[in-house]
Amino acid sequence: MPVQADAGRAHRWGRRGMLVLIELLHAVAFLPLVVAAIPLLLAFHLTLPLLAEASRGLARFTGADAPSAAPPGKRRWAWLWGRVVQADFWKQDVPLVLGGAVFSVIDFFVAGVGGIVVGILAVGPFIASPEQPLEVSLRDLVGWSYTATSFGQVWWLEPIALAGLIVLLGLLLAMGHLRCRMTAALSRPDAEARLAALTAEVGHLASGRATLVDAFDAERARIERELHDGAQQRLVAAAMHLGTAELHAGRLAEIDPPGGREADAGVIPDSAARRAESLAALRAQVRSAQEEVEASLRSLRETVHGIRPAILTERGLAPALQDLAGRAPLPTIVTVSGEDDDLGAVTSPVTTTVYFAVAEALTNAAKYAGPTARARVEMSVTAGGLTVIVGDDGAGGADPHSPGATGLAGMTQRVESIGGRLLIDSPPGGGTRLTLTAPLTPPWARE
Amino acid sequence: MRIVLADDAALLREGLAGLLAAAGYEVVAQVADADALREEVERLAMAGAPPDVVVTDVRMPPTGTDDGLRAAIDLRAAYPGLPVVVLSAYVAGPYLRELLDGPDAGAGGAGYLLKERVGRVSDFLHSLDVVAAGGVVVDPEVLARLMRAGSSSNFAGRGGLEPAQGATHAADGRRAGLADRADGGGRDVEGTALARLTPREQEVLALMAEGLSNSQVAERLVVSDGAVAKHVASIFAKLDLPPEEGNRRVRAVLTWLRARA
Repeated sequence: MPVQADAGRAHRWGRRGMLVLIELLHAVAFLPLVVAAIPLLLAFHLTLPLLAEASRGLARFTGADAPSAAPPGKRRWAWLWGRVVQADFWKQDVPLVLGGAVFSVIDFFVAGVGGIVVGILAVGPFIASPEQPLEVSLRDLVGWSYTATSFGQVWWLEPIALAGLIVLLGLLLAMGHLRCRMTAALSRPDAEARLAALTAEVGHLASGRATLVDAFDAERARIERELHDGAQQRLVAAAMHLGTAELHAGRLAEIDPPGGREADAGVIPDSAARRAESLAALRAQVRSAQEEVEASLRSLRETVHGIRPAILTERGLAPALQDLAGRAPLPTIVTVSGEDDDLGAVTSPVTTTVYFAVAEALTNAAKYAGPTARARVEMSVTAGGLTVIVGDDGAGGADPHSPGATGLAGMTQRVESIGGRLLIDSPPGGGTRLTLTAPLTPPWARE
Repeated sequence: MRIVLADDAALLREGLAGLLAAAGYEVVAQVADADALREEVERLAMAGAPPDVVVTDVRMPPTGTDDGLRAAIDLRAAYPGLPVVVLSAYVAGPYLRELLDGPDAGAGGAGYLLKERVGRVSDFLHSLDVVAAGGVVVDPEVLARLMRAGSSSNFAGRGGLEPAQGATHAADGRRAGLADRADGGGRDVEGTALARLTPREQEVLALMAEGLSNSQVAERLVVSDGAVAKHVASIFAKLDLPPEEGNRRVRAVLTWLRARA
């Protein structure tokens, strides 16, 4: 795109101009700065960081990566007063200002001497006249001199002046680049500080994750408790009321209708027949309402169980896995080995993650392994961690890397969130075998 | 029949008390937590009039977890023969097994029913009667799950996937009950005995576990009473329960449940 290229070129030229301008500024400010050096030096613990910050600001202005040394969000004055006792003051600010001063000296001479030479070369031919002859002399070098009295005689000084100007600007540009490099290099926090900052960040993230997992656990517990104490109990109460109603309706049916004697005589009045019919309908309605309530309770119970199985909370991972085998949609056997102390040491986020991973693995096995497949779950626990193998003898061929395997990918992620690993071995036709290893306590929950 | 009722939800406790009273049962005490339940039963027993049945919820104060179940297990241990019915919101084999695993488990009636079962009033009252008489009643839904879990043990027995070597343990405080199923080999022995039962006999045994009498089983399976009696006798023989053994029905059911729960 020519337009963009043009824009880029203009931008580059703009930056170059800026760099040159800044170097010129340094040159111009050189003498005043030298004059001001004595008071500045006396208050060096304040002026040095300020000068360094100013240099960084200027460097940033020209697009260099020179972040301010002042921490964001803190009070600038406090930072400035305390800067002198920080290592970075001596490691970064002092070299930056001293280096900058050296650069400024160079700028001063380059811009000053070079500027004067270029100026004379450029202006000389115009003022050369018989009254004011211009003498171009290289006598000391090559013993050659030339005296000119008109522009025509020394017009060739103009291209030399132009070349000199270009060289001068080039030098200043190079100085600008060098200054930017130096400023950037002396602005980056050093590796140690960086490592400390990153470590702090990792700790922060880990505690954030722990908080999140804890909050999620607490939320599960809250939902489960509310369903148990709320909806479930009210539904049970409703079932109880319906049961009592059915009982009464049953008794009512047993009581002789008012027209009983006529019935004995073989004459059933319409009202008695209607009454019996209504009672039967009532009982049928109550019974079907009862079935509805029971079905609701069943589905509610499965929901509650899916959120957080009570057996897992109250009895731990091993009985919960045994219980899971009874619920599994395919024949499953569970074996658990390990010392009681180690089994008891498995912490809550690990039990929850492992339990739901195994439940999902069994659901997957029932879905993909084939109708005659069987599964087994083997858990072994040592003080160093736990291993759970979920195997089936089904069709195999599960590929955790295929785009459709979001379940396996999610499972892997959840296992990794407790510092564990999930290996999936599923050769086509050879059954699927998930091997889950995890520490008893997630790394982020350790003291 | 004198009943002690324990449930922390006043709504359910009152409703249940009303229902039992309407059916002619006497609720001698209502309590709202596990400690009060223990104290109340102790008080009644000291007075020389222990309740005929204790009906308790699983989840109760003080900890709001399985305190009711623990209290029931303690009471069965402290007062052998005390009939206990546990009402639960969970289909959990381990709970049932712990309830039935006491040192003298065959001595007294026990029941494990899902809460909604109280809505089937006549069934519920029948369950109370069976338990009060020393029988065992387990919720049909729990049984259905145990039968599914049991079929997996059977396939392990066929040797498709060999069980891993090594001890089986449960993870928590009352692990003894679960641990002995592999360590002591009790489950295996019972499992083998059960494996000798025909599918029909297993079906009959499961219905017996629901607390049904022979004639009720016959009705459910649409066969004659005689056929059921024959199955039952065969079950007793295969499970090694000679006629002189007391309460063979309960023992057969317990054997079945121990192997499955």
